[in-house]
Amino acid sequence: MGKQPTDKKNWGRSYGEMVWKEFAKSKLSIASLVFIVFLFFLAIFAPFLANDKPFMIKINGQWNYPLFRSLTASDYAVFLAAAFAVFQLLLIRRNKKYIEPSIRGQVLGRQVFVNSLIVVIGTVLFFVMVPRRLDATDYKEMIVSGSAEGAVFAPIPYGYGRTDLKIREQPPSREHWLGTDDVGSDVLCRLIHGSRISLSVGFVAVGLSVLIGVFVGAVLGYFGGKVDFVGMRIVEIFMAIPPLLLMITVVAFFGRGLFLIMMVIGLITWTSNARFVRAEFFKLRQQDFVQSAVSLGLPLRSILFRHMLPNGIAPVLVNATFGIAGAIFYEAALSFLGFGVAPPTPSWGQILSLGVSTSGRFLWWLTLFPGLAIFLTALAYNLVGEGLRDAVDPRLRKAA
Amino acid sequence: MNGREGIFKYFVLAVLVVIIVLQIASIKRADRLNDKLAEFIEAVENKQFGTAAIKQESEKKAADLPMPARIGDDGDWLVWCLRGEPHTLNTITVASDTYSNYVCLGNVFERLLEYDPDEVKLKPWLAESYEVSEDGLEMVIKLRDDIHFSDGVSITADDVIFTFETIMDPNIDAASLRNYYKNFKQAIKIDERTVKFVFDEVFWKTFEVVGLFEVYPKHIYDYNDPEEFNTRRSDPVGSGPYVFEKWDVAQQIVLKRNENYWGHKPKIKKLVFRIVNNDVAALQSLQSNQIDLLIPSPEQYYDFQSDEEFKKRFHCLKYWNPGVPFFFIGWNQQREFFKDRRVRLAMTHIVDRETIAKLLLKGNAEVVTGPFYPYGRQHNPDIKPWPYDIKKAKQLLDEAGWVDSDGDGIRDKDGVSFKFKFAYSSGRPIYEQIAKLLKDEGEKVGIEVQADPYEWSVFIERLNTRQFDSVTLGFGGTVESDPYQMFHSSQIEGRGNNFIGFNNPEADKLIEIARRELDEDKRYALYHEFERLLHEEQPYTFLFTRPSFRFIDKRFDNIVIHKLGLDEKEWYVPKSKQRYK
Repeated sequence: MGKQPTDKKNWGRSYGEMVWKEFAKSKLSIASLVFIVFLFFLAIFAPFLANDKPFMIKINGQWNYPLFRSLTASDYAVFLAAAFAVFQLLLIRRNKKYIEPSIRGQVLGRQVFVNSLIVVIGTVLFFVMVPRRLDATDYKEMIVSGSAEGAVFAPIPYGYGRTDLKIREQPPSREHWLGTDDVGSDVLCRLIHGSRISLSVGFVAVGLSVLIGVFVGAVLGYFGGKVDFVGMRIVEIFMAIPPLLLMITVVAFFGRGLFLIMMVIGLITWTSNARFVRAEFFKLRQQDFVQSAVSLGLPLRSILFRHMLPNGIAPVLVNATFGIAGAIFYEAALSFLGFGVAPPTPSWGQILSLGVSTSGRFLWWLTLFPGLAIFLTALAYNLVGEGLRDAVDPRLRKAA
Repeated sequence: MNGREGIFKYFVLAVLVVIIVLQIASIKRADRLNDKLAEFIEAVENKQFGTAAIKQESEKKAADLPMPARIGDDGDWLVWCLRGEPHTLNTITVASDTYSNYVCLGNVFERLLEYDPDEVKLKPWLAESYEVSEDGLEMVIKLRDDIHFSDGVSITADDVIFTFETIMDPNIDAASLRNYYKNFKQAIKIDERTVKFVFDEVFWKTFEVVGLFEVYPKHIYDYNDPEEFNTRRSDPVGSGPYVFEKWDVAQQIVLKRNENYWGHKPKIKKLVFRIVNNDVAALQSLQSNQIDLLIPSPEQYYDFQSDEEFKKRFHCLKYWNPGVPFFFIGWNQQREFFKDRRVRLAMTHIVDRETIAKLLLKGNAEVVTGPFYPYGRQHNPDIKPWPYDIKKAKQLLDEAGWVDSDGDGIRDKDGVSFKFKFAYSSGRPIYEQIAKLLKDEGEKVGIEVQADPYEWSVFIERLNTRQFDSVTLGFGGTVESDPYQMFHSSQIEGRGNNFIGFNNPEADKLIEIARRELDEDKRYALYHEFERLLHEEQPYTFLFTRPSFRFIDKRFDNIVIHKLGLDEKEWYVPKSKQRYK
């Protein structure tokens, strides 16, 4: 850096720090954040928490590690991403101590970029290198029959796709803490693995919608005039489409893949982001720093995304938090209606849909637990979003 | 100023009041007119065609009418529950829509011959008699002389020939129906009441096909442009004991009794078909007396058959009849995986059909070994279903050359992993459950199955264009079925029903010989042999069949279970219990 670092004692507080301080004032927001972190913990370590394969098993005097052998490329990718997310958080703590607030944003951006690049490359590598392994050996049977001497199982020793018709539709018991579903799979196990689907749908769909929304909104807001007029009419056309109906139509005709569902949710919900960004850019383009950037002859890309966007992104990030809750709801609704991911991939909405059997019998454990999971997750995201909104926009807070 | 404004206000108010009063009066008047019109129409319908004269004649002939005399009290309605909206009420242009058959068949339209419900043999209905020539290439039908359509016009040979020619018209949307008429050459009118059918080749089902087509009135359905006929979806007119009254789209279809019916009139005055799509909603409307007859799912039947309160209010019927469907998993033999008989056999061994029937369908199902009705003579009772045997499946797969050579737990052969998709139509829980089971069992033998659900119309399209690896489906049964459509190699090409591409010269030969065999015993022997062959080849994994279930309101009486099932035309409701006027 060309600048001489000033004395640490004279460092002011960065924007991030201020927002965090405001956010942390509310206990409810912090509690919600803790809950979301807990959910992420469940989702990341799902294969270790609920798995029908043992961590280790002794067969013929030799220890085997079936659980680790059965981890898939996506498992490894999730671990990698989680590790780098934690690493990034530690970096942010470190930045606070050693890097001057005025350039901290820039440094942070670079760190995030490098880290996500590593995660993306790592994910691709995992998918190329880690083969899909199928292992349906019944290890529990081995213990019972005595062909294995000892084993260490996961806390919930069931697989989410394992079926056993003999124990179908059983209420919670010692063996199955949250009961079993229509083909005898363990509900708790399916809930834990289902958290991965719900969280990833939330993030990918919202990521896509933010990407599209920011791009469209930035262009409309910066240029204004005729571009804005035509563009906003197109945005309004998109807003007029009932999202759930369009989703059902698309999924019905193109098959039921997780990726497709994420794409569709993202492609439908970007309009609100576009409007937020447009409004911010309308405000910003009059300001001196933008005018000077224009007069310096900077390229449009640089003006829009390097100079204006960081100043106008806050409301979008807040909106995205609500968007995640919405996307989780949409996925659950689709699954509930029978248009979600194909079985046996677990999804909360799909478990919920089994709660009323065709004969009208009410299976409470298939309704209560996934319903609670969806409700709490959506609530937590909404509370975090609310906390963030108050922290970002002090005017709103005062008004409230 | 103020005063003037006040007067103006009063004036506006007065005008408004007058308008409202006039409006009410005109509504009342229209209502009265409507009532009168309805009375008038009823009067015309009952008298115009000389009911008295017809009645006299039918009493004279009552002894030799094809249906038994109807007993019990007159009146009341029967409210059915349809699980989906019929696409059309034209039974010729409908492809395979059970719903429109529920509504029209035997109610609005009638056929030349009918199956006797107890003896399961064809007997004359609109026909007085029929005769088949020695070589089986000609069939002469003689019509009764006392039959007429609901509008009083009598049924003649022209109507029969019109119906036949409509079906054969390539511009009429009746492709699936025309499949059965492939060996038909022509229909010749001999006199007003006699028709001769001539065929190209001998086929046992021909006589059933002739007997079982619905006679359409020529003077109503005649067309210049085939589109006219194709798009005529509502307002069916036939000769049956009920006539069409109205169709409220997405709500109900109503038939009322044909007061001019040529035969014995049924006792129930109206048939109402309410459209309820959802399983649970249908059951609830039964319990709240909105419907009288429900076809429950096996699970619903199981749950309520032991409910004493429920049984006090409803007849819970469970009966076998040849119309029951059978379910199967079809293996697409155009795919490398399923070309080998041993692989298909292995797949059958990993499906635990006994347990599915016992636990998933709560014992209300039976494992089948072939496409034939398990209690009919066509089925070979010596064949025992393959057992559930993982070890045997593994052994068969090893023999077929599918072994796990790269240690990833999935079997492979020539560098191709054994991964396939399992297509089914979404929305029916049973298919989804089978998909989950198959995936789990597949993993146990080292095969990766991927569930692939589709919405019904997309699913059918993929089936017809052969875009699937394996598929599960159910087919409805008949008294005696011809496996030609499903298993003959000529039906692989195009959009034929042999969508799994089963091509076996021996099977083809058996099917062809059996088609030409008119002697029942010899034919059944051939079908037994054919079923044995299917059992060895396993082009399908035959899953199970289940009896028919009905929940019927207790107020209905004289409900008899025939060998062919129920006949709601013989039911009645005692006067004291009647619900609708």
